[in-house]
Amino acid sequence: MTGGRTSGLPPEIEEVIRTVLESAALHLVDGVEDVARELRAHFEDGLAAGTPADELIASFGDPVVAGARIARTRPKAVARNRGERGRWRMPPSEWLDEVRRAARRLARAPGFAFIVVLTLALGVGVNTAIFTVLNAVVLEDLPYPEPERLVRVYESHVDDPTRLWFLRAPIVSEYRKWEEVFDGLGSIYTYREVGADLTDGEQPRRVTVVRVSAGYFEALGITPAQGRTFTEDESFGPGENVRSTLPIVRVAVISNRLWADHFGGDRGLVGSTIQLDGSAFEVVGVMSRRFNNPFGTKADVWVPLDMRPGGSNRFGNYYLSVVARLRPGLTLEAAQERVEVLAAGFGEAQPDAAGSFPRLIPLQADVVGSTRQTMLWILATAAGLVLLTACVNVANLLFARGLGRDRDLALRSALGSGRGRLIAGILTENGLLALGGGAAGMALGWLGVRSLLFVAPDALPMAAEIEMGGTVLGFSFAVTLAALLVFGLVPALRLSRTTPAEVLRSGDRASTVGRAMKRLRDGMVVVQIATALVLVAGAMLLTRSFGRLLDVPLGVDPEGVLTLEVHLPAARYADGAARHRFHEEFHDRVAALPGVESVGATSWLPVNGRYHTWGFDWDPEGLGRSNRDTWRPTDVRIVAGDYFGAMGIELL
Amino acid sequence: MRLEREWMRGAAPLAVLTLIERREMYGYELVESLERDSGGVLAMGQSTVYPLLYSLEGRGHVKAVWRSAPTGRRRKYYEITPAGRTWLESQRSQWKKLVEAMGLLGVSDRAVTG
Repeated sequence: MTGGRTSGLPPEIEEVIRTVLESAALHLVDGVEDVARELRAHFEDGLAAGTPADELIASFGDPVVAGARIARTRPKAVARNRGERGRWRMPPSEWLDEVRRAARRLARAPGFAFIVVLTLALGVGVNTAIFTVLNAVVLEDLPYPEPERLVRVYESHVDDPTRLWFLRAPIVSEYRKWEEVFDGLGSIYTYREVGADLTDGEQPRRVTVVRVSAGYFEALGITPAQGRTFTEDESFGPGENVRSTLPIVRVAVISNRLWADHFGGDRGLVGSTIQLDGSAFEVVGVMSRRFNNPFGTKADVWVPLDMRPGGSNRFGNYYLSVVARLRPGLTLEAAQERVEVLAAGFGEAQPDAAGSFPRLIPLQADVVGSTRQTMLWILATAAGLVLLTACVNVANLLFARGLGRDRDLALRSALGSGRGRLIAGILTENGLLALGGGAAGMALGWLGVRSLLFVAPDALPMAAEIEMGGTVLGFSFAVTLAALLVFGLVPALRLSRTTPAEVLRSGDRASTVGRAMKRLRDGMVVVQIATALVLVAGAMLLTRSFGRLLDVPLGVDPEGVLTLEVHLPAARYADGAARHRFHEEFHDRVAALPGVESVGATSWLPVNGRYHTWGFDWDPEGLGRSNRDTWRPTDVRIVAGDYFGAMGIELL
Repeated sequence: MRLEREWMRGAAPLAVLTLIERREMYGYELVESLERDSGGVLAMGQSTVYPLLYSLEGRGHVKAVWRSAPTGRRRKYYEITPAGRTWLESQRSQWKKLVEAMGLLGVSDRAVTG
């Protein structure tokens, strides 16, 4: 490596130059000739100035040190002269070349590419799915304007403030007047939606009817897409309540879905009448498409709830779910404090309300529920661990592939690729893999969410709001990018540090695996095993809890039991006698079916949650006495026929 | 008097670039000039000067061109680039600040008199 041209320099100076160049271990592309020429010129100038050779050699310094320094600095200078300005500042066409080359390299290793994409897809997919749900249910605000002002109102009693009750109509009528606290308050009939037959149009359709009071939509801050909502008179008008299921006026607001599907999006529908269970209801409004009840289920039709005193609206009837909007600027704590004062005043004037006070709970917290929230976060953590495992896996794969590429990289380096260029190449390859994995992961995530909603549509609150929006896509993109950078850059940096001469000289491919790299790889394996262990342990615990849950005695024997719901249209079965006749005949006919052992009926199937809390008086000391102390609340179900036999319920 | 290694590390690029800014130079000239113009304080072994030149070239602060010297021999001349000039300006003002601060502390006074 003396650079061809012989000069008239003394041999001891030539020796110095040779030592420098050998220590620098430069390649042709690093301009070894150029350096040799420059050093020679230097010594020639020195000699020409009359300095003796030994003095020149002494003032030069250590040639080995010089070589090492030149090895560090020279390639950068050459790279800059070639136009490689900085690591990433390549013109687009060169990036495109990198992408093409990376794609070709991956095409030559389809098995590797497939495994990496699949692993990434699993990690990103699980996280996308979980994040989609988490985002819609926990992180995102409820789909109502200024949702932080919305509260769910329960009734509580000073005797047992931890217990929350549904509300009584006279109490709600009082709360409505507290305008210093509430900017709007509406109630919804708690004991589930009611089915009704809609007999307009070509085919009858079973629709879900929900009864809500005037002020309900307004409290939520929702205006209808067409027409109006319910007026004060339609809920609180003059006169007395007879039964809360009978509306004062037969008017209805229908859902956008029903309007579009069943009525073909008829713009003239508002103002016309529809037949619900044989009764004519005037359509006064069509809801906006995005509206959903915060609790309860999806509704096709809303009808006004009769909130007038009397009838069902007694102080003893706890049946309303209430949502309210706090005055702007009022904090929850201040509102709670204020309503307790107001309730105390009301209790003094009204003995039936004594001791009762409203409990305000942020609507979001009420809808999501803390248990479900915790569960979702646990799930998210598990998903994060899955991603971590996937990433470590991918990093290991990249490492393994990188080791096989040492010679390739060394060759590229020897042919003049700077370090930045090599890193760009490796990262482009990783980028393509991440892109593939990310895209496949998002598709997988979407499928996951769809199947989750398909399998358990009611398991999650606000299920209708669960969709993959920009936030979710952004999240998935960020996750993929982070995975690429963190787990792709480390191998890339290491590989680009390859010393070409060493690798090319030695035939052994794995010659450059240093001790530090080995430690890193061992560390990654440890992380992988640790996360896998946590995941497996968590999964096993969950499975066991689930198994235990299945083993919990329900008190009923669901084996071989078929259930169905029957809703009788009020128009055709107007009175109790008609309904009774139907049920008797229905019972007999079902009982006569071959294979049927026993038939029974109930107002609400067991294990389906709380439905109708009623109560009874129990005072062993003085039977027949009734006061607050002897009143025991309990779930009430009405049964008929051989219900206990059919359900396998044993009586004590 | 020779400067300690750490001082040289900070001063050398500034000194070299300052010289090149005055006029373009080739390696030997630069080595000579450094020693002569700094009263020997900034004299550097060539084992330092050439790597330093390559490093400045790598950072884009100088540009190298081969052409004939007045002696008729072809020499590799280094000239400052606009980026180099900008960098030099900022280094210079920092250097001045440092000297001022040292002066305030009384360091430079003692150094001058001592």
